[in-house]
Amino acid sequence: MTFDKDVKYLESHEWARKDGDVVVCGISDYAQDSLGDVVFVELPEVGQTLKKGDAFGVVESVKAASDVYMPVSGEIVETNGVLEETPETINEDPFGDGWLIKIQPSDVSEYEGLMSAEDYKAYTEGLED
Amino acid sequence: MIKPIPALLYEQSESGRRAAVMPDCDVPESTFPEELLRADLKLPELSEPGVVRYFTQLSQLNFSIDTNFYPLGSCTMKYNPKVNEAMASLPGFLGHHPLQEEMLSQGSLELMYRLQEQLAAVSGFHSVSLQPAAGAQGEFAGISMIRAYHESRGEAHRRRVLIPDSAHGTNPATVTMAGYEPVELPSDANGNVDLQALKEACDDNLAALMITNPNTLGLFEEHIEEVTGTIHEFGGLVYGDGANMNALLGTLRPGDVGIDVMHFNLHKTFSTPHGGGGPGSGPVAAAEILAPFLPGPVVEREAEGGPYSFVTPAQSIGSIKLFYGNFGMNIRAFTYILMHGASGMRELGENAVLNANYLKSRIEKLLPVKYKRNCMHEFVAGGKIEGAEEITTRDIAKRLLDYGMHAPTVYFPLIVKEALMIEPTESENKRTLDAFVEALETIISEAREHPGLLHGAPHEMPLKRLDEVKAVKDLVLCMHP
Amino acid sequence: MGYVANTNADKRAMLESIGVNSIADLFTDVPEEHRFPELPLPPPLSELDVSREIEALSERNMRVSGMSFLGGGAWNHFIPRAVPYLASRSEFATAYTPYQPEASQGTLQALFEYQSMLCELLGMEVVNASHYDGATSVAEAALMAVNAARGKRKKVLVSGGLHPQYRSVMQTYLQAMQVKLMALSAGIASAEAFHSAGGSPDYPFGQAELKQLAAAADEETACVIVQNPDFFGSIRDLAGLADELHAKGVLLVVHTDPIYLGLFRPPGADGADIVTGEGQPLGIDLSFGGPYLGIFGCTKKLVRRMPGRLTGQTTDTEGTRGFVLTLNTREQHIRREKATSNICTNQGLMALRASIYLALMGQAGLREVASLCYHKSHYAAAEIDKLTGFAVPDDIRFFREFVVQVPIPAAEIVKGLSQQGIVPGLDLGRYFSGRRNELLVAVTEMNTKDDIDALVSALENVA
Repeated sequence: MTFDKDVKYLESHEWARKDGDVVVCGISDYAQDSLGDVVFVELPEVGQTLKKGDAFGVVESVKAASDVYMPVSGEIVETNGVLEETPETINEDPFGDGWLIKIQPSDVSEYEGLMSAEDYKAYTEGLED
Repeated sequence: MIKPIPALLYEQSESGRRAAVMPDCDVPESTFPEELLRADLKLPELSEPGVVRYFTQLSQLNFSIDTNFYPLGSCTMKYNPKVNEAMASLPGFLGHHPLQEEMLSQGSLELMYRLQEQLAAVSGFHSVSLQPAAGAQGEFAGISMIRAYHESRGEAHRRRVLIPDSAHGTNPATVTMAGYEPVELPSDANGNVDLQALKEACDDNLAALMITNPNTLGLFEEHIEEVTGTIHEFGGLVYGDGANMNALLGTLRPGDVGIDVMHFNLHKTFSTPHGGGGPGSGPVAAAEILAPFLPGPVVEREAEGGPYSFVTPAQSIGSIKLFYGNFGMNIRAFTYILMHGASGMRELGENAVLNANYLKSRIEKLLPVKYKRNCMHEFVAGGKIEGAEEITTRDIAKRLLDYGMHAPTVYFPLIVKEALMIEPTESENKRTLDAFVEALETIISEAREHPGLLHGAPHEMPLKRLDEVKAVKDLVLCMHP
Repeated sequence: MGYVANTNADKRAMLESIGVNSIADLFTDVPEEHRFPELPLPPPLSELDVSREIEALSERNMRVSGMSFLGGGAWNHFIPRAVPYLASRSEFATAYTPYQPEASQGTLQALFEYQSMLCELLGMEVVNASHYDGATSVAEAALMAVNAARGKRKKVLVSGGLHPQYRSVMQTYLQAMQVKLMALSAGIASAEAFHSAGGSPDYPFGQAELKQLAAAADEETACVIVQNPDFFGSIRDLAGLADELHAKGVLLVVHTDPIYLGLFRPPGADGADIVTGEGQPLGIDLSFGGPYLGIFGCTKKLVRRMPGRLTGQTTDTEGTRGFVLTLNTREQHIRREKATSNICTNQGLMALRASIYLALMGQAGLREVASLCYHKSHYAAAEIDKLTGFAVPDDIRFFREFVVQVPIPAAEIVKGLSQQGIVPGLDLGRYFSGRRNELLVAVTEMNTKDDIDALVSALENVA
C-alpha cells in the first residue's frame, strides 16, 4: 500500500495536491485497493462550482459505487478525460495518471486543513477490524 | 459429465425453418398503412423440437430448489408445493380477463378477499392490499402511505426515515423514491438497534422507522416494543420489512408489537416460486390508522353472503400496479395458507428456526459467527478460515457449487465482513443440513492444504469462474441477428 | 404437514446439538405475552380438500374463450403449448435471481435471449431483464427521464392516449418527486382530474396531438410519453417527433405493443430514447391481471440511468462465453439510497415465457399473428359500423382494438351480451365518466369470423 507523502488526504479517501494555482484531486491507493477493478467514473462538468465536502462524482467497481467528495471549495477547471476510456488507470496509478479533477480553490486555507500522509495511514489502520 | 452449453438462438437459426404456424385468415384482408410497416424483422427461425431441446438444456444448467440445497439467506428458498401450480393453472383462473365484470369474476374476487383475511390473521393487521407486485413495491406503498398519513394531519415537515445499518438496500432506495430522507442507525454489540442512537435520532421531523425483524443477521430485535414505542412517542410510524416473516409464522404477529404497516413477500414466506428472479407478490398490510391509505383497489364485501366487489380505500395513495396485483402468485399463497391452517403455520415457523439454529450450532465450530445468541430463521457467519487467510467468502461460495450446493448469500449484510448469510428453511431435513456441514468441513481443509483449488473454483460446473469486470467493461447486452 | 422434513428423532438430536430442551426455548427473545399467538385461521386441510375448494372457486368465474372481445391493457392471444410446458420446468421456476452465475446459466442465457429478441423487436440498443408490467414500466421511464435531467427538468408531458390506469400508477410513483404530470389536451395535471373531466375531449388523438406535444415541450420538460398503439387502439406515425424533442433536450418515451411490432415500424427506428411495453401478449396468460411482463428498453447512452436487472455477456477463466448480471452498481443492493430505483424482484419467469414464445413464433409466426389481429379487427369494425346506431370513426387507423359509438350505455350492452356468453368489449364509462356510450372492442387471432359475426348480430339485437 502506498501513502504518497506529497499529497494530503480526506477521511473519505480522496487525496489533494497543490499544483500551482489549482488543486488536483484523486482517490488514494487504499481506496482503489478496497474498491477493486474500477470500471466506470462519473465526473462533473467543467465550470461547476462546488463546496468542500460536496460529492462531485462517482467511482464504480463491479461490487461498489463510491461517491467522491471535494477536498476544497472551488470551481472545476479540468476533468481527467482518460478515465472515460480507461477507468482502470485509477487502479494502475492512483496518485498520477489516475487523477480525477482539477479545482480552482476559492479558499486555499481549506487545503492546509487536510490530513497528512502519516495521519491518513494511521486512520486507515484504525479502519481494519 | 459436465453439461454442454447450447449455442444461442440466433446462432442456431436457419432461414425458412418454422415452429408455430397460425391459421389462415378467415376474413377479407384490409390494406396495411404502407408508410408505417417495418423494413425487416429478424427473429430466430427454429423448429419446435429445436426450441424444446434448447430450453430444456438451458434449464439443466441451473441450480434450483427442486434439484439442490439452496440456503440463500434472506431469500427463504423453501419448497414450492406442486398443488400451488395446479391451482394457479385452473382454466377458470388462468383465462380470466381482469376487466371482466365483477359479477362474472366472483371466484377470483372471493379468493382475493379470503387471502386478504388470511394475511391479516397471520400478521395481526387490520387490512391488506394485494396490489403490490413485489416486496420493493410493497415497501414503496407502505412508505407512501406513511407520507400520506402525515400530510393528512398537516405534518408534511416530517421527512426523516430511520433505517438500521443492517437493512436490505431496498429500504434506503424506497425512502428516496418516496421523497423522504434516509438516516442510518447503528446496531449495538448484540445486533439490535442501538437504543441510545435511536433516541438521539428522533426529533420533530421524524416520519418513520423501517425495521426488519428478525433483522438481516437473523436476530430477533430484543427491544422491539421499546423501539416502536419510542418512534410512536415522537409521532413517527413504524414500517416492518416482512422479508423475514418466515420465522414469525405462528410465533409472533408483527401487528402486536407496534408495527404500523408491513409488506409480505409471498415468494419467500408463502412458497410461491422465485422464477429465477420473479414474479413475486408483495401485499401490504396496515394497522387501522393506515388502512384508509392502502393502494387499491382492494376487495370488500358489503354483507355476509353478498357479492364481493373492488373498492378503492378512502384516502388511497392510488394504484401502484396495473389491475389488482400478481393474481397468479396470490392463488399459490392462498393454497399454501389454506393447507397449513393455524397449527401448520406455527410448525413452519418453528422448524425454520430449529433448522437455522442447528446449522449455526455446527457451523460456529468451523467459521466465526459474531453474535452469540439464538438466531431465528437464518444466521451470518464470516468466511474467514484460520490458517488460510487469503481465502475469501467468494472462494468458499464458488467451491460449494462443486459439491452440488448453492452458496449462501454472500457479502451481505454489509456490517459483517466477508459475510455468509445462511437460511436453510423448514423444508430441509437434518441429513441435508449435515451434508452441508460436511461439505464446508472439506472445503476448509482444502483451503488450508490446496488453496488454489478454491481460488480456481468452481471446477465441476458448466463454466469456470466468470469475469464480472469484463462484463461491465466490454458491455454486451444483446446479440444482434 | 408433508412440507416439513424433520422426524421427531431428528428434532431431538438437533435440540441437543443447539443445547436447548425444546423448540419453544429458541423463541425467548420474542416478547412473552405475544409469543405463539392463536391465529384466527381454520385447521389444516389435505391437498384433496384444498383442491376441491379452490376448483369450486375457479368455477365461479364466467368462462369465455373465443367470444371475448375484451382488451384494454390485457389481450387474449394464442399460447403455444410448449410455452407453459417449458417455463414450468422447476429448474427455471424454483431458482432464485442468478447471483451465482456459474450455477444459473440457464436463467441467465434465457434472459440474454429475451434481451436480444426484444432489442430487435423494439429497435433499441438495450432492453433490461423486465419490470412488473407495462404500467410500472411507464412510471419508471418517467422517473428515469427526470433523473437523467439531473433535477433540472421536472415536467412530464403525457399523451391523452395513454392507458388511464397507467396514468394513475405514474401519479402514485411520481407524487413524491415534485414532478408535474401534464396531460396536454385538456391541460389536466392529475389522473384524478383527468377522470373527473370525463377523459380528454380531443379523442381521437391524431397526428395533431403529436405536433401539440412537441410544441408544448419546453426547457422544464424531461420527457414526452406517447402510447402507440394507444389505449383506444389507434396508431400514429411518430416519424420526426424525436428530432423535434431532442432539439429541445427533451426525451421521447414510447409505450408500445409487442404484437403490433410484428408488422409495424419499431419506436427505436423513430428515435425513441426509452421504450416500454406490456409483454403479456407474448405467451402470458390473462390470469386476472398478473403476473405480466414490463418491457423496458433504452438507448446505450442512457443505460446507466436504467432501472432493473441486466444480463451481460462475458467469459470464464478459460475464455468460454457465459452470462452474468451486470451494471449492478445501479441497483439498490449496492447503491442503496442512490439507486436508480428500488426494484429488485422482476418478472424473470415471464421474460422466459416471452423468450420461448418468440423463439417458437419466429419472424414469420409473429407477422402472422399481427396480420390476423389487423385484418380481423378491421373486418369487425367494418361490420359493426354498418349497424344502425353504431359508428366506428372512419378516419382513424387502428391495430387490434377500436372504439365504437353505441346507441345505448355500453354498460347495458356488456351486461346483456354477457348473459349470451359474449363479452363484447370494455365499457369506456368505467374509465371515463363522459364516455358511457362507447365500447372498446379488441379482436385477436383467437376470434374466428363466426365469433365476429355472432358479436355483430348480438349487437344488432340490442340496439
